[in-house]
Amino acid sequence: MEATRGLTQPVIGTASSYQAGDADSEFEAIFLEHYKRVLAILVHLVGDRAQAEELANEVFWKLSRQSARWLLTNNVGGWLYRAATRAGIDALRSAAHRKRYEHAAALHNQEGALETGPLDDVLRREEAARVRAVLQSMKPAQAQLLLMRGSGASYRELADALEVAIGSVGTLLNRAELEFRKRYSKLAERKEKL
Amino acid sequence: MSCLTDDLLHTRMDGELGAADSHEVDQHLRCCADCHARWSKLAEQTAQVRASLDQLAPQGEAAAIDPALAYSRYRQEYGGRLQAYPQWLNRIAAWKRPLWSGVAVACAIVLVLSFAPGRSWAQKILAMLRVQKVAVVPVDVSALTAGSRGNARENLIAQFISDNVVVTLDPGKPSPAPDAAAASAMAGFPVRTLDELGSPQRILVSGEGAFHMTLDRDRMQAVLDQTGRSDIQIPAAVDGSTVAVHIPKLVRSMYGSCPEKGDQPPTRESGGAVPGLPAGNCIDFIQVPSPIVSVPPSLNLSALAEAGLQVAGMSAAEAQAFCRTVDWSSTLVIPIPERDSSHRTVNVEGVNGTLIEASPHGNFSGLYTLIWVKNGIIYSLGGNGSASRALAAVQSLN
Repeated sequence: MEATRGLTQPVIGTASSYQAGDADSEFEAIFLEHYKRVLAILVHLVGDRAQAEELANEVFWKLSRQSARWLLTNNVGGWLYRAATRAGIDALRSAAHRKRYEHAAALHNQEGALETGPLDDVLRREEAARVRAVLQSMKPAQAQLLLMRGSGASYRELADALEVAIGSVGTLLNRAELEFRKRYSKLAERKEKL
Repeated sequence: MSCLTDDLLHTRMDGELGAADSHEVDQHLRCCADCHARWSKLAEQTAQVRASLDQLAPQGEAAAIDPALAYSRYRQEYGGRLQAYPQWLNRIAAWKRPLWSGVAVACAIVLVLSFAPGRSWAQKILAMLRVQKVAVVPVDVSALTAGSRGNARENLIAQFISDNVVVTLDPGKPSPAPDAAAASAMAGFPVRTLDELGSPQRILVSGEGAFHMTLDRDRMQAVLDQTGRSDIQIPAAVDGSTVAVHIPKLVRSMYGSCPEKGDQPPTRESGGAVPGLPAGNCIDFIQVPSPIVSVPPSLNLSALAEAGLQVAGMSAAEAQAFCRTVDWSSTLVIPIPERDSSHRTVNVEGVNGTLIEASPHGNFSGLYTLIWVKNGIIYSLGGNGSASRALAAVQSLN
């Protein structure tokens, strides 16, 4: 993944040399290059494919509103993954999601099964809800790091996306994993007390 | 080889070390019990986290992603809006449309941070703030733009701001109003006119806008470090705080010979002295009810504003002294370039207004802005030429 996309034409913008056709094709190229990973981050976070697609479109829409100068001089991929992580976490933090995930994760077993279907699916959904609750409570940068690494991003890609030195990625991943485990354990303890 | 750091172990575990380094690590692990124990513990930690995250992966057909199909759907939904991004959002994201470009970056940091909890709110989390007065602080904007790193610095700060801004309410394009009465009905508050200047050439009403930003202390500190200001420390308590801004509908009345092109300000081509700024005898009169700014009561805005002012060029002592003089409960603080402008207090309708005038020999020579707050409405009168025309005109406010 390029750290900075080398564009010779404005992608979206008000520059006097703006040409509609050039801008569209450049934006399309960015979209096609990064869409899979953006959507993967959002699906992991919100769990709902339709909602993740809607959020992904909003993220790309926000990108399209950056100035041409910004797009030429900044790390577009890094911006997209950060924006996707924040959008997913914001969606999780909305009242409806918090009640659905935290309370369902903490109280589900005590109040009896609300879900039907194969036991494996039920357990999987319960575990996914718990993991999402942990991710949305973490710093977005740490959540982003774990999600991107989980989806196969290399250290170089992680360094570019988070705009850190590649030599520090190992340390940051270690910290993020420790934080995840700490919060996961706390959530599990809370569930046991209920 | 001395004992291995967790960083190195993790990098080796992830297969991200080169062949030679990997071999060296493997050799060490064979003969160091302590490192081997830590390796095992790290492996267990990583495996548990990965297993948890794997629960989130979509299953079966849901896992298939077709970017080309997705783009086609995106164009159907957003295609008409691809080239119509709102100007006011561009100001926030890029901060390229201020009165003085160097000021905008400092403004972005200080403006949002210039409020302090004025009263508690039922939410128990956020304090709602409203502007009652304006204060101006001269800053040395060359600190932001000087040297070869100037542009990179400005981009970094703008990027920090833009990355963290989430727009929750898009005002859309301004709507024209035939007269002040119609504008009042559209905006929801009484729109005033400057009778001495005659009928406005145009009146535009902008929709409501809202955005929030979550403060990431590590990222803010990284911006300071990368701009050579690691001496300025962002308070740790800032981390994770959310600042939300709601901007009510805004009315813009243009008097005199103003450009006809939509909501774009006059340009050099239309006779303006500087692109994007008022030209000729055009006077821009803006009215907007106070934005509502929500911040956590625990957020130490004074400390944060001190950091922002230092980035904008003040010394630590100057920033601290200034912050003590500001009534943080209700003041909108506007930084202006100290070398390219002057300001003074003037009486407008019985309240203190601030008149900011560009220096005669600067890049924005001839420009002025008069700002005041009355009854919860922020007024701004801007033009090119003598400010005495504006001062006379405000006497005729209805």
